[in-house]
Amino acid sequence: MDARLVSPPDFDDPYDGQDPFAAPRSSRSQASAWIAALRRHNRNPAVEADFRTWLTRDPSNPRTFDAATQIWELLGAAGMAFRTEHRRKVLRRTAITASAACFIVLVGVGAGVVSQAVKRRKLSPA
Amino acid sequence: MRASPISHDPPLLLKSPHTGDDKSGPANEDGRHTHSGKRPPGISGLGAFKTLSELTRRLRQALRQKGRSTEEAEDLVQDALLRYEIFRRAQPVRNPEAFIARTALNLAIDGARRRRRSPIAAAVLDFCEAGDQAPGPYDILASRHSLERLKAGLEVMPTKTRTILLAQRLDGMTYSQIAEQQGLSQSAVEKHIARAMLFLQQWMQDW
Repeated sequence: MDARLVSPPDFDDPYDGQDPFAAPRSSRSQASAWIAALRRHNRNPAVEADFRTWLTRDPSNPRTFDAATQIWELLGAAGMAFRTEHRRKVLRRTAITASAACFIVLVGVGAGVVSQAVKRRKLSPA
Repeated sequence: MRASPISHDPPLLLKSPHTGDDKSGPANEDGRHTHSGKRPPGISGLGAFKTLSELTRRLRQALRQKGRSTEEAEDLVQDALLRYEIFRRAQPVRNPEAFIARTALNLAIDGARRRRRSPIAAAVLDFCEAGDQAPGPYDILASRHSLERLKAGLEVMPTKTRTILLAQRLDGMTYSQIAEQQGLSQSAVEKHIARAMLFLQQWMQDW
């Protein structure tokens, strides 16, 4: 296979010399590697040309890439949902911790006040 | 350029990650881009907004200013995002930013109107009537299903991989920015993303 596919220009090889875009890796694995490669900031026409070559190399490649792309797209909504939920969880946990802390402080203060009052009564004559 | 020369509607958000904040204007008009060398990072097709996270943040802000609670605003925006994804599968969306914003606002108005009339009817209507634009209730339901499944996949993947994946997908960070933040090489970052995508494909099998 074309050497450029293994190590496209402007970028070091992320796969340690192994070809991520060819057998024996599964079509899915290759599609995932392409999704990642196409998100490079310095993506260039050579990478894109290689990508097009890859798409035609195996009849299952376009289908697999399509499926992977759909996941990538839904990942926008799913990722936002994940973050929202995560934030809510953290907020809830913070709220619980904060109210627990408040409770402890209040109990402590209350106990202090009561014991002071008791002491004063004991000390006072009559 | 078109990342995918196959016949279906080109994947708008994937295709060209390096557009969106440049002034190439209607690059997403018909879902196509012409590749013009190096571009600043960002999610394509979101107009003035560089990233999905920025767009949704601004939308939530707008909804809160209209008197929505934070939670309500978050839910509305998420719903709008989902509808956008489904709608786009049927036909190209000319201006994704406007579509998402309009959908979120419509959902907010519909919801308020219905709740005022009858809370129970509102719940039923919300379920049955997905608005007059394309995606039907079953699409929405099916996609919400996949969305939940995908979110569960995010929850089970290693934290570092997820952080890297979402930093790219939602915040549009470049591999070098993520690499610096995570103390990794760019190639390691790329591998995390590839591995995450492979995992999610397996995870979403039969869904």
